[in-house]
Amino acid sequence: MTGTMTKAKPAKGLSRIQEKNRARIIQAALSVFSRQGYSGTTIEAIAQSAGMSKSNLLYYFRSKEDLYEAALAHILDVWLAPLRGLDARNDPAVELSQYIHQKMKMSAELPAESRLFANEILQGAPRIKTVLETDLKRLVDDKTGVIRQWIEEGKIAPVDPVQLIFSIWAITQHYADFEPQILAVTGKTLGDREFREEAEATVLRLVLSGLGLAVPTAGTSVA
Amino acid sequence: MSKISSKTATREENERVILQAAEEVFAEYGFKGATTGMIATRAGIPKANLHYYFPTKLALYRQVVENIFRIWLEAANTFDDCDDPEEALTRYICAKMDISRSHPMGSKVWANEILHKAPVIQDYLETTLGEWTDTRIAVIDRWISQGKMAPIDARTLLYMIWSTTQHYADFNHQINTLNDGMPLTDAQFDTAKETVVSIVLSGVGIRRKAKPGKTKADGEGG
Repeated sequence: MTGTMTKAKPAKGLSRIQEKNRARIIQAALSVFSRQGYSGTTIEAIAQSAGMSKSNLLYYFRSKEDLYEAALAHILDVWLAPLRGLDARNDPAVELSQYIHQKMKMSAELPAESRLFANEILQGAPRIKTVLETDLKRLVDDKTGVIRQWIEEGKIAPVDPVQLIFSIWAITQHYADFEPQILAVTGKTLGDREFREEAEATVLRLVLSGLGLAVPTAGTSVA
Repeated sequence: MSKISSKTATREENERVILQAAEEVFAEYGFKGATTGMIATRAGIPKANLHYYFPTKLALYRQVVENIFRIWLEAANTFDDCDDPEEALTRYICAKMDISRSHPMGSKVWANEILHKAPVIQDYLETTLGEWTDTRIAVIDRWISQGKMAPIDARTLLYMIWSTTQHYADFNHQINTLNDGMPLTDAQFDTAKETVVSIVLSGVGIRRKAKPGKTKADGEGG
């Protein structure tokens, strides 16, 4: 419900300025929620961060809960975009390394958003259950089909497609969600350019070799 | 004598009940959101009773965190017990997967703590976990130098194992949702285990001598 609502709304009779405002509010909501958590966030703080009045904001979103749902649905949407692109007709090594690259990039550039999402799932996904049940489920079903096709064509080693997707999510999001642990153990985070390149290269190698693939050399992991 | 031991048994039983309740409440509400009142209610005992065993919320929380941490560390003893990376890694991954299933709440408490920048266990991360990780890395690097596995950054390999195994606890709501709202069955969980083992071992260039159990590649989990 939430996911389709979030995406359908701008199309339905919102002017271009309104769509822009709505996107701006969602960005502001994400950044405030990511830093302050749900209970520490006020609508005023989001309005201020979006540079508009509270009453103007309330025209777009009725409540803090609405804002939170829209923000989480937005993260999921952004995250899933590169997975949507996974195409059975292309080379799995290239497709999967692009996907891992995008996910590592998101963990490097949007770690707070990743943590916000993880926190929601840890708590049992009370607010985004519907998005998971519809949008996410449909996409994962679709993409496991792509992976299964590669397996059937003998292009990658036989693994369970769903568990493969989980493994990629887990390791890539780990760099954002467990950042304080990585910092304590390694002394670095993805904010360090060299560390990020090495981490991405190793993750790529682990996963691709894990599927019996070689890491493609050109045009994939440009940071 | 028997009086004392029955007292000890009662004490242990009470502590166990309290710790289990604490694990659930901390997993759900985090350290800040949880209260000892909530934990006492969940454990079905008076609050004063809880405070007799654990004087503060912090003491209780640290005990919960220490428990899961100890269980995880013990799972990696395979690194010392055997010198074959295939066997050691397989046993470690399987043990960690089993812990995600038997102690999902402990794993979530840990994840919650880290997500919130580890305010309470920072000392653990920097000392115990840091030192422990270094000893495991030394073993992996030795295997690499002996040509038993492909040269790979050992730290990243450990992150890969930690994250993929703990995902089955920390993200179990998402996993269940994608599994038509049902927890993974034993067969599905075995498939998950086998998948993680297979990806990691192939990932570090280990050709498996014998694949344990069924090697049903896909299906099941989908």
